[in-house]
Amino acid sequence: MFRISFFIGKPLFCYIEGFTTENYLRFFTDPYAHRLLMFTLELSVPVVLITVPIAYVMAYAISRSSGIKRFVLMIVTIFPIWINLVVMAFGWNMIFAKYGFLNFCLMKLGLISDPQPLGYNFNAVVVGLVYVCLPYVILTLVSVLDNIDPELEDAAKDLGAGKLRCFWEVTLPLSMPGIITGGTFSFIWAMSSFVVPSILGSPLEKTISIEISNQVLMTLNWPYGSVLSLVLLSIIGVALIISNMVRERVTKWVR
Amino acid sequence: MSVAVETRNIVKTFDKGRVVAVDNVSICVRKKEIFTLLGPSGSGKSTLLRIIDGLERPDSGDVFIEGECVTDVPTHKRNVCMVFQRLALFPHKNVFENVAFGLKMRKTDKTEIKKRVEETLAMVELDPKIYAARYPQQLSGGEMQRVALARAMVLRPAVILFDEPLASLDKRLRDKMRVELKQLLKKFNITAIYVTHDQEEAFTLSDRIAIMNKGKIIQVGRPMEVYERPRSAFVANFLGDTNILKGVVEKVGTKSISIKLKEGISILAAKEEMFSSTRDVIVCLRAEKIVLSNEPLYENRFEALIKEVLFSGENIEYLAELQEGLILRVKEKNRGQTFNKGDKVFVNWRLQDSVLISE
Amino acid sequence: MGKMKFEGSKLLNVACFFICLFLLFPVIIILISSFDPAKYIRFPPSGFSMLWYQYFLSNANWQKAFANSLYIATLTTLISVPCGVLAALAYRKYNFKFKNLLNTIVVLPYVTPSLLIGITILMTFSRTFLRGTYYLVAAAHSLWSTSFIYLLMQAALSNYDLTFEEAAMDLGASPLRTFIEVTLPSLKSAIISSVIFGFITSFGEVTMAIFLTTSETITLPVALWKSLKFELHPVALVASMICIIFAVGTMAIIVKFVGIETLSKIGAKTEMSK
Repeated sequence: MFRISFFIGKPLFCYIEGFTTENYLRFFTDPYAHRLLMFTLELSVPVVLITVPIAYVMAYAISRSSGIKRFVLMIVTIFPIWINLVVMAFGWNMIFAKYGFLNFCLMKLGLISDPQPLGYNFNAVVVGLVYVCLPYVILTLVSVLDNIDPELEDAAKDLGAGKLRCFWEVTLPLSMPGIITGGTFSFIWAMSSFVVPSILGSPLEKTISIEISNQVLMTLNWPYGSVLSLVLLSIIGVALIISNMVRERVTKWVR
Repeated sequence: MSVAVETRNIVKTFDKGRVVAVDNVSICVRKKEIFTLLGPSGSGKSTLLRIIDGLERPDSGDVFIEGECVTDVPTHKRNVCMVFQRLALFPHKNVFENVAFGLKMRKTDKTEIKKRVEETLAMVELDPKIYAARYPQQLSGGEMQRVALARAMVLRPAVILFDEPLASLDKRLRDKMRVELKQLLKKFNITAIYVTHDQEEAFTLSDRIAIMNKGKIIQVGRPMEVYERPRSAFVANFLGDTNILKGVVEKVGTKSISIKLKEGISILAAKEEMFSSTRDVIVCLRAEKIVLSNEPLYENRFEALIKEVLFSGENIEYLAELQEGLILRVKEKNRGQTFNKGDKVFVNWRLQDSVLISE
Repeated sequence: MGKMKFEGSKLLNVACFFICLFLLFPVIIILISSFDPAKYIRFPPSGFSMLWYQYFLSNANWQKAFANSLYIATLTTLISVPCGVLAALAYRKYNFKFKNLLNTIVVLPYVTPSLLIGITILMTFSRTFLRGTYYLVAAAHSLWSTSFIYLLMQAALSNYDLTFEEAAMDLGASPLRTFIEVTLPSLKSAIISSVIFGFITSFGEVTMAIFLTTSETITLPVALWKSLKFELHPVALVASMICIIFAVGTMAIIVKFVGIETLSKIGAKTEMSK
């Protein structure tokens, strides 16, 4: 489905008509902007690659359990969704901080002698983003895994597939749509993340969203900010289209 | 070795022992035989099947496949295949891949796989050239059944298990498939254990039937045997329309026994050794054995009033009330001539038409 | 099922445990640290005191932010709950021409990154009198929250049988009465959850708020944000705890009312609506 953004009416010509093309031009020619874009992509890809497998493991466990165990796991999964982003980032900040938890542990274990600045870098941001995305992806995968007919797995076993092969041949392919959706979600979120990178990253780690906010709130160059937003939006749109296409290809069966 | 599958004293409980699904069941299925587990829902038949397949482990007892004890052997290593209720055809694989799955798991080489798959598809009358590349969603109900069967057959297991596979089909298709299935199974000498709650299905298909209820095997025998000579009221009731009459043995003669029913009338039944005088007895009288007439016909003949007439196409059912208040169900083939509500008739049956059961 | 896959299960369990730990980790840290009376934030905490809690409660700025958050959240709830609930009901019951379009539009804000929504609204209304008001923030939050509630109601409605309503009307109740007597009570728990849902999503929303609030209308999360960016003060920990407490509390209520499975269906619905 092609996403037509109904609510976003871009006031591209914020002040004078003449500005419009100029801003677009600026974007397309400015290497700084390109670097920004690349960096954001660089950030998003690891996030997706880390989130999806972890989410799958958790989702698999949830869908194969029942009763109290399932309840507890679900609660823990949903938990981060309710905590707002700033609090999350803050918590991770504290963990990574110079005098934070991780350093404390490492010192106690004797691995390092001085507190290291573990935070405010790329990895911290990745961890933070994974944390944000994980619950949603887990939930998506849980619902997909739940819908796989258990008879199919029984049949695979019956026909001679050991546990591992059964998973590879039956469960995994059937949960592919969920994986794609989850991955896309993580990607979109990571691309448009703003709060987490700004708190957990140093000024070096600027995502396109941070730049947008800077333009809008500080430099007050709204037109340029809008251009960037549009770019972001189109990237997201493209990602969605691609993900839908991939989904269609992979799920050869019509539901 | 003529025994394909044997179970000994299988017990299976769920919910920490609160639900006894299979209660000390021992059965013996011979090679090339179609053996059916028949019973109402919850009687444990599916559970027993799954235990034989290896998908469930019994709490105690053993399963033997072709003489070998497989109780501790996991499903994927047993030489048993199951056709599932919802067929469980892999939706993301086409027909060829579905049927080839088991062979692939056994690491059979590609040319051999191709040969056997095509062979088996032909056996179930699906032309490989047309069907091999299709996906399950593109198949009709009957075609899907065949693919499921082929998938099991191609592995040439010791026994194929069927878990009510025809349940999802409509009546006409079900009847047709039933006949085809039996022909296929017999043609290729396949041993099969079939589970169903449909009595008609069990009768049409099986060589032998085991009737189950509440986890126990109640009676085992050939269909005719089980039908004509039920050994318990449950079996009699489960199979077809029966009138269950309770009474006490009055007199034992040379060829017949006279039984006094609790309603007061005396009926005659064929003599059976174990029923001596004053014993409590249950008489099972099949609805279709009773004949209605205007004149008395057989040894057992009673006047009755027709209370209700139920027309169902092939048959006509009557509820006939005898003078003493006993109501009998009568089933007659629709021969055109019918009795009507309120008619006075004679209900007749012969000595040998009833079956005596002790309880 | 677990019997034959024992080895696999064990590994899975261990992995799960660590993942759970990961998911709960930051919150635990904040919880512990918020009781630390030291002036600088460090681990391990140097003591246990309610010092910063008291500070939070007495500090005008933080209190204002807190109050703002509550106010805006309430406004949002008032707007989004009726919209979301009615939209979901309408979708379920009627088949009108633009049904699918409506579905897309209503779900749209949910899948659009809040950053973009925030900016759009800021720009769209910047020349209007709504600029910088509470209502604007509430409106932005409502967009998002209505989406959420819509999805929640859809998930809850999937368990709801419309034939109840048909029966009521068949027995002579007018549509309005049917709504009051049959629909609402059956959906009571879902609606209550929606209310709470609307509240908490607004309360915890930060991205949009950063763009749309001024120093007057600042919300708690935004205040927290500012604090983290500029002058980090231990009281921020307390503010965080407040957010967490609200979050946990509302989550507990909703789980009790709607059940956790329905909640997770929201995730499924989003997938389907793609």
